[in-house]
Amino acid sequence: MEIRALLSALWRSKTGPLLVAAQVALTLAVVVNMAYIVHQKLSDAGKPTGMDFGNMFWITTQANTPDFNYTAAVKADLQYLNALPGVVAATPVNNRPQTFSNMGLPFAADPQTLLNPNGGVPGTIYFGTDKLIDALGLKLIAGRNFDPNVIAAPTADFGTAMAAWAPEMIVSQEMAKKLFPKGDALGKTVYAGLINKSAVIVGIVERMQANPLPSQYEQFAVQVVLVPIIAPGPNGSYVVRTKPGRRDAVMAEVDKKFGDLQPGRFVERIEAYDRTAADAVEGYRANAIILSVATFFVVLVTVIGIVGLAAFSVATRTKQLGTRRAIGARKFHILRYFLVENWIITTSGVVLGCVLALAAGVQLSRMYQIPQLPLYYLVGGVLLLWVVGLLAVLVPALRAASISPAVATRTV
Amino acid sequence: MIEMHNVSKVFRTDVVQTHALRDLSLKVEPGEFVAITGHSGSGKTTFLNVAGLLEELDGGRYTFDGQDVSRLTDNQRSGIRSEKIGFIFQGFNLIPDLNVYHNVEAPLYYRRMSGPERHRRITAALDRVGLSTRTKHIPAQLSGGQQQRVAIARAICGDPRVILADEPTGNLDTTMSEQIMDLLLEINAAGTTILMVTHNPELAQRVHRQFHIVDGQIDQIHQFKRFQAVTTAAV
Amino acid sequence: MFFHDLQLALRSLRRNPFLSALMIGAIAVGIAASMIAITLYHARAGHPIPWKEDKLFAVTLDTRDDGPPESFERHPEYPPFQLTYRDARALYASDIPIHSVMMYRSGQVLSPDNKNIKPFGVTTRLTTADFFPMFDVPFIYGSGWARAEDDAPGAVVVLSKFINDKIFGGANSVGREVVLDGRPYRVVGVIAAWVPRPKYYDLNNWGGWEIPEEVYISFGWYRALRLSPHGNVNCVSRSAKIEGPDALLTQECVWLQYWVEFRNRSDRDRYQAFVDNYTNEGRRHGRFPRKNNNRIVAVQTWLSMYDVVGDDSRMQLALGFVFLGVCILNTLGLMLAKFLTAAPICGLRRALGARRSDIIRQHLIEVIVVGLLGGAVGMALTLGGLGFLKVLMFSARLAHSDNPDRVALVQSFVHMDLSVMLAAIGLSLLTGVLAGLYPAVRIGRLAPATFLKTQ
Repeated sequence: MEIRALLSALWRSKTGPLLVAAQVALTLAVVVNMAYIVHQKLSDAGKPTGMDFGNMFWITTQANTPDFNYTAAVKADLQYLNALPGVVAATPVNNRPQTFSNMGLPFAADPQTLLNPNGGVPGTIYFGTDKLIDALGLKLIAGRNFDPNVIAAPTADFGTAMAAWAPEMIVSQEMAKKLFPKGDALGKTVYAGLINKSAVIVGIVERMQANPLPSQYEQFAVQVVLVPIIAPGPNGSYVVRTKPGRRDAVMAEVDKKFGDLQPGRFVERIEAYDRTAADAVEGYRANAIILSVATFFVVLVTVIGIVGLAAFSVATRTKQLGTRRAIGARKFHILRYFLVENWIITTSGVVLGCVLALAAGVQLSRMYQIPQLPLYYLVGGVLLLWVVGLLAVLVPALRAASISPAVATRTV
Repeated sequence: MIEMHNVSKVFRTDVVQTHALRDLSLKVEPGEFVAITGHSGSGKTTFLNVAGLLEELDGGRYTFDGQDVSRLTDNQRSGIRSEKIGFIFQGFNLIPDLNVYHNVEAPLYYRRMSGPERHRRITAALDRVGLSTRTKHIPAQLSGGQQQRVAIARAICGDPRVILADEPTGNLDTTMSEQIMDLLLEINAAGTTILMVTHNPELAQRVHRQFHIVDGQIDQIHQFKRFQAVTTAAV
Repeated sequence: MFFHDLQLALRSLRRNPFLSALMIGAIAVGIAASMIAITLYHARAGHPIPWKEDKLFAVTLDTRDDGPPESFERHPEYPPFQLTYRDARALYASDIPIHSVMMYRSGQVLSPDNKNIKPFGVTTRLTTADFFPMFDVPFIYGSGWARAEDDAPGAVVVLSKFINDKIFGGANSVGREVVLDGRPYRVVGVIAAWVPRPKYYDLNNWGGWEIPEEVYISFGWYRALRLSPHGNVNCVSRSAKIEGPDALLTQECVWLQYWVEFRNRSDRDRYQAFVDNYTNEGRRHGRFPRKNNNRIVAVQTWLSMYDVVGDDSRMQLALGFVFLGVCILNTLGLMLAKFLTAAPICGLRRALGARRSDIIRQHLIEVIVVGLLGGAVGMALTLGGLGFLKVLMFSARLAHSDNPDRVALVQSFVHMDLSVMLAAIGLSLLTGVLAGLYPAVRIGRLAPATFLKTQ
């Protein structure tokens, strides 16, 4: 194959090819990095939560009157909810998971560590009754549920609630591992910083992702501590889990009746939990879509550039191509010439693009605090652009190959 | 070498049908130098296209170098052109982005040939046409006469049986025309059959025979006395 | 002559509609991508109160324990962005600033007089009196309260327009009563529709991209009501003890936003000295283990420290510009191809007497026309794209809201204001010129004779 001649001819009229190579370079940088970022965002959004949102909903209430008896109301509410047919469990909570409202403390096996700045293990805390685990759909993999007798009654405020810390706690497996790397967390005493209280781990749940946080804040999402405390009022927050398929019917029933059950309080909102979870990751999904769509269009524009250059190339070289055929080239030779020429142009772009992609990758890693771009993205991007470049030039190349040798003798 | 029996070629469009060649018959012996003359629109170019296997014929029989080439595939025709036919065009048809060396090299790539073999042939051809010193020039840097000589080198480097020349001196001045003609006569004297389409009656008379085409058919045939080739083509 | 060139340009575009469509399309898409990115970025990058840039300052003290930074902290050198109750009270005593405010956000239940309207939850800001003059809050009726009312505290309330419309039908409600969490408050003022972007004075909740609170009561009510903060509460020292209702009053936990306004530069410097002295004194009593890192920052710096623009906006902006770059290169190639193909006609013109500058000018006009047409189509694409984004990115926030201010806030994220629109026009012109300058000049420079030769 006449590589030397091809390169020599290419170099002599290099403007068009250079423009296409530049587009390919920028496109590669964009495709590689955006694919990585989109993957990051989707994986941040798609982490398993450990909870059974399809069958859960929540209720928030607020007090109407200053003398509202929250303690009595909570008791009655829970009795009503747990007795409803179709309900698996209902619990009051301090914060609803997936709403980015959090409460956290540092925890440690050794109370001395807690006095050091940043000492201990941060844990996100959820209050609830002994129905908490079932209401969230969590899977207990070791130990037991709370003893119903240790559930602390609601206090006047959070400060006092923390001060009356319960003697038991259930932790997520991640939390257990961090607190007791040797794996013997069950039955151990754990101290909580700032409140100077301790409790015993009576149970471990497999996984709970409290909120869909980006990966560098992972520890604040999966290190969870469940405590048997009924959150203080006067605002109420309940999470309810139903049997499969019963959720909508139960929600409708609750929507009708729950507000009127207690005087002195009203329902602020009732919402299906999968809606809440979807809203929580709306930002990630939206971003992923925007970046993907934009990347697609960048590739499309570059494809247009490749096709344009190839078509122009064929149109201006018609006489030349006819002559080549006249002097003995088969259609296959012409096709091959175009494909190789295009491959050379694309590859020059790809080489420059790799440099740009890596440089941009370093910047993005630093900015988003994510690990460096893995090289297989680069490989994938290069392959994609080779394939795309090949497909783009195919039609013009086939057209070129079908130019008749008789074109050589034409005088117009 | 070239034998055509009742060859016809028809061009069809939606509206009109043109018989560019109709029942054309002729015979060219190996080693002959024949001229094809005719007015514009007479079918000269179509004849050349068919003769050079650039286009298929629609009717009749065409025997080239003893082989029936009337109904061949595109690849087969390309193969024969590649091995046995050399072309010279009125507009030189050099590839503008390639230098002289690569231009001459072009047809050799379509045959299986090693690098050293190609180099040998190219150097020999360029020597023959007197352009060994300008291998790195691109066509835009050469005069018309030089460009045509490069084209001739390209045509002969494959050792073709036949050279088909389409108005080879059409774009050249008198002096250059003479030189090119002398070169062609030299090549013919060495044994290559040449068919030359031309407008120029003086040139037409320097060859063995002249076919005159009118309306797609051979009208007259003139025979000329044998001639002596001039030995060198001065630069 | 210009008009003639314009005609030539339009005719030239019409001659090869497919190629023209590709060129205009490439520019349009590139402009749409960069304009959408610019709009989104611009919506987040504005200065909410530029006329007070050198008067208004946020006060931060470094109350943290002395220790190594956490792995996820991007700027461990920044102090916490809120103050403890003790520190806020101590700084409030200074008379150097003309205005000082300490405040936080919470929530209450409003029970309207009108029994047809059911009680509902409202967001409340508990703040000292200077909030209103400091942040230039616009009133439609009445005004805020006086500083003295903070001490008592007076049972006074300022309503947002939204609440006033909802419970009083938009009438002048000054003097009327509003019941919050069962307690009556007297209306002293109603605020006009007001959505500073971002809500710079309180960056909790969506990083500052949230609407102001619906009612305002005096900060003095904190002691009596102990309304819990609906924002970040961070106990920055391990020596803090959360053991009862007074934790937020006494412990090393930051939860209050604190801002000051100065008359002039020298007052600001004096205040810095005052604050530094305060922490030096505190250090003698065992507080403030770190070196002095008390930052009194103006709004611009504040916004960049707490990164209200966000990584995503910046990346989208970069992507938008790269996209535009690819489109410019693309159009450049297409235009070059087109001009070179049409070269013989230029050669003819030159033979008939056109100068080189005429050819270049004629092509530049064509290039500019392509740029402007691309810009027009790009603008339409931009508006469509922004509309689509509004649904894609914010449907959750829009769904939960009957407050028109929140809707207005979300609209503003995808709103293209006049400056951005003008930028779009400028950008399309620039794009056209960048894409077309080289081809136009290259065509102009070709010698006429090269086209007139027959092949």
